[in-house]
Amino acid sequence: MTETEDLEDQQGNILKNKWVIRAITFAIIVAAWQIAGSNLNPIYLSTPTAIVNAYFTLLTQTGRYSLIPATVETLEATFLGFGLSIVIGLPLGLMMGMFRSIDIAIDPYMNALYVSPRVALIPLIIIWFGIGFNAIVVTVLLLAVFPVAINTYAGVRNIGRSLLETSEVFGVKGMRRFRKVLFPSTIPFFMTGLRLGIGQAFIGVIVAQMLLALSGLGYLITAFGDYFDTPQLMALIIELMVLGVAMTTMVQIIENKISYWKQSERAFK
Amino acid sequence: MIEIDEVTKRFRRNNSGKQTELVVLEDISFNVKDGELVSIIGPSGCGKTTFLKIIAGLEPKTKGSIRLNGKEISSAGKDRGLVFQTFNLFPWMNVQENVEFGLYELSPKERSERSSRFIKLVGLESFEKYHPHELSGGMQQRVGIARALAIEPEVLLLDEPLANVDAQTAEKLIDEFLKIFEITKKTVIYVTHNMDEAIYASDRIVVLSARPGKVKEIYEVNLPKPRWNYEIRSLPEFGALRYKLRDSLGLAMK
Ligand SMILES: Nc1ncnc2c1ncn2[C@@H]1O[C@H](COP(=O)(O)OP(=O)(O)OP(=O)(O)O)[C@@H](O)[C@H]1O
Ligand SMILES: [Mg+2]
Repeated sequence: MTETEDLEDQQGNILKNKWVIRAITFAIIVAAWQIAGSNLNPIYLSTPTAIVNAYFTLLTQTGRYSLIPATVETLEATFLGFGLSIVIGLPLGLMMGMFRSIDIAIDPYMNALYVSPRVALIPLIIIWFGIGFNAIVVTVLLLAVFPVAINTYAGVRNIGRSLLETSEVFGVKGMRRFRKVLFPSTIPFFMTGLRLGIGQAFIGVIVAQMLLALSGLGYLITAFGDYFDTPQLMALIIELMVLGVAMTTMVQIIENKISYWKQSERAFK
Repeated sequence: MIEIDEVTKRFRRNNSGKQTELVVLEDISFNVKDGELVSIIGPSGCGKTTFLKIIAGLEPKTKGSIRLNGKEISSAGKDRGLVFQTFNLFPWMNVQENVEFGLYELSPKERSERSSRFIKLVGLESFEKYHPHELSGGMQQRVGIARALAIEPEVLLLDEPLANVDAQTAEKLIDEFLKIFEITKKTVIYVTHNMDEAIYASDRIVVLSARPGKVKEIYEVNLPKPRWNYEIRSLPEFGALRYKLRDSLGLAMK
């Protein structure tokens, strides 16, 4: 057996082990929860079995508290708001990175908005857009546009002097330099912005729906919380976790595909 | 013909409110004839890279003049190709795209003909679609050379092109480079740290002193040609020149 085969084999073992470890941990947590939950007032913790039941009730139910339309609506608002964040954040970040005057003009406001808790603007958004789908999309935009813009900006600022010198030596300037050098080199940073942005977008949707909607997952959470219906509440929280992980994983996969050269560059250092 | 006349470079620095100046190059003068290979050797920090960047048109000079075929050099141009110590390939482009980087003025057909010609010349055919991270350091520098040659410059400027390549590969590559310079009839300015490399490759060697870099000595290398022949390294003249160079560099470092 060669050395590399040996290494791969070890990695395979570790990988198998990893999932074994996780399965065991999961089983222990579920069992402990079941025992603890059954011995307490069900309002506090509920139990895994009650939560699974609650989940199926939510799934099969029709009307206002039905899970599927609520999920669809929430995802729609997330992706729409996130899409707008890219459409606005990417050019904004590029322009700020490339043009010093735009950077100087906009930076103070960007910074002030970035460091403030932007959910505080939700009442203002309600005044402007009413309550409903539009207001939710605007809230998502407000949360997700900053990571996208700021990371893209950092990407432009980070481009190595040596690559610009190389462009100069070969007479590559203007729009051509933007297409061939500046833009590709910011892509890994932009992708980081997307990964952070999708998380923010999801937070934005849920908070907005909790505050100002009569539908969607955020609304259901507030409603079941108000009724002290812990099993349904827990079922929803778990669904949010799963959706959150799924969305970030999706972005991560795209990231690995698009900036493969960056990943492998890192591996060598 | 490159005429370098009293080139001086000073960097201005703002040292906590106080303006200071760093003199990096002082009154550098020498000529490079067509088809000649001139090495520049000198202690670290003496301004070799700065000097090459000035010739490439990337860095303004403080004083003096540099003329290529009688015309003053003031900015970068395709009559000069530059090869970097750190390769500076674009990691998101494959070998072919990297080599074609400066060829945007050509038609697509001419462009791919030109790039495949130079990729072949540096021995990388069948690696066209590879990305830099899939290549060894030596292969990456071959791409760097092909990219610089592809714009068909008159002058090739090389900044320690083999400093990031292991010794064995460097010995092999220098032979290949010398053959390529001969075939393509380039005028070459070759910056290096390595005395053996300088003697082996050059027609003349310019020794710079420690900062501020001044021309300390210029040596003619009268070894037989073609140079891509390991035996040359064991000639007595080679040893004698090496001794002189060492002496001159040793003094320069004091
Ligand atoms: N852009 C710059 N601004 C200020 N000082 C600089 C700049 N570039 C280089 N220098 C200074 O000029 C001097 C010469 O640098 P240079 O890189 O030309 O040296 P070098 O001879 O190529 O060294 P090495 O052999 O280590 O590559 C150094 O002291 C460096 O600090
Ligand atoms: Mg240098």
